[in-house]
Amino acid sequence: MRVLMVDDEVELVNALVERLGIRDIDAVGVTNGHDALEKIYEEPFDVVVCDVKMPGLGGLDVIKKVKEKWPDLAVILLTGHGSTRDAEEGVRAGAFRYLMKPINIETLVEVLREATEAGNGRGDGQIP
Amino acid sequence: MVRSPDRDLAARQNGFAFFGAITASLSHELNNVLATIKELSGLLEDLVHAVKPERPLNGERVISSLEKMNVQVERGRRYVKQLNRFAHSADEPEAAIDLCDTVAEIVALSQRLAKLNRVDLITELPEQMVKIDGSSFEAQHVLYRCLKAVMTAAGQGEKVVVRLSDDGPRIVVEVAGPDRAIDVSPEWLHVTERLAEEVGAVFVSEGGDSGKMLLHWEPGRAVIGEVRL
Repeated sequence: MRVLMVDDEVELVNALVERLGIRDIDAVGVTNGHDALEKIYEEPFDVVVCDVKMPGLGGLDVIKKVKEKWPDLAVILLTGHGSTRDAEEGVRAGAFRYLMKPINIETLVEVLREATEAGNGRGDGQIP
Repeated sequence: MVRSPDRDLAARQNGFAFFGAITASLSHELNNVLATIKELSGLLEDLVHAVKPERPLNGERVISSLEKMNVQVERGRRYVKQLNRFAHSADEPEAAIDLCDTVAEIVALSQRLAKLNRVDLITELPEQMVKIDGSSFEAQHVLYRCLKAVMTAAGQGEKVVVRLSDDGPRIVVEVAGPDRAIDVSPEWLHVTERLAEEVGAVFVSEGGDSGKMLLHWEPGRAVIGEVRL
């Protein structure tokens, strides 16, 4: 399974990537929405895990752009907001699910597996 | 100053909205700090669980994670201190306040907004104290409105400078962004003028494409509103 982690909190992304690696999940981290889209163009991923609130392109912008080009690529949103309004909007826009920060790593792994089974990812790594 | 009930209600609603914006921003940052500490401590737990006779604990990775946790704890302490000072800024409706402190505090509280707007927010403050009589909370409120309007008009990577000067008879706080029109509504303007009055200042927007907003204090002089947009 290949996972792209997107969050502007650098140390959070790095720690999550390492923890997923320990669980035999191949994860790559980036810290903004623009880099996330570039990465998805370059490499195939099964799931994108993306923070809702980020400078520049936020999670909702990322999901809209991802769904335009790769409708089967699963996106999981992360939110630290007390209000879940934005995350629910993300689900309406096509997100597989949203998780509240701080997250539980075992819950994340479980949701990643479900998302991989539900979506087709970008198996061939080709730009559509 | 005699205030009408309508005006009191509007002022309260604006004050609550400002208080909400600041506390939401800081609590969001604190949540990020806690989320990061949780993952770093989880990583330590993972590393310990992965220890086997043939694979001993990697001391460097443990120390690196602990150092990163310490950085996050310090970051969290800074937010808590800012939040606490902000909460106490409403304690006294009328007191001698140092505008240098007030400007520094609201700029620190606005850094997340600056980050989301991808704007570089900096201050230029005099070394000596600049005293005015008023409410620290209300002074921060009117400054925040100016900061938010100017930062919204600024583009990615551009600079917004909050400059405080005291030339004796006149104290000026200038919020200056790039040379660009600042789009504010007549209602925004009205509320900002009234808030400035509450702290004994005059709000001036330089208009056109100047990208600047100013607050003037002229102690001992009659306050005359001057707004050019």
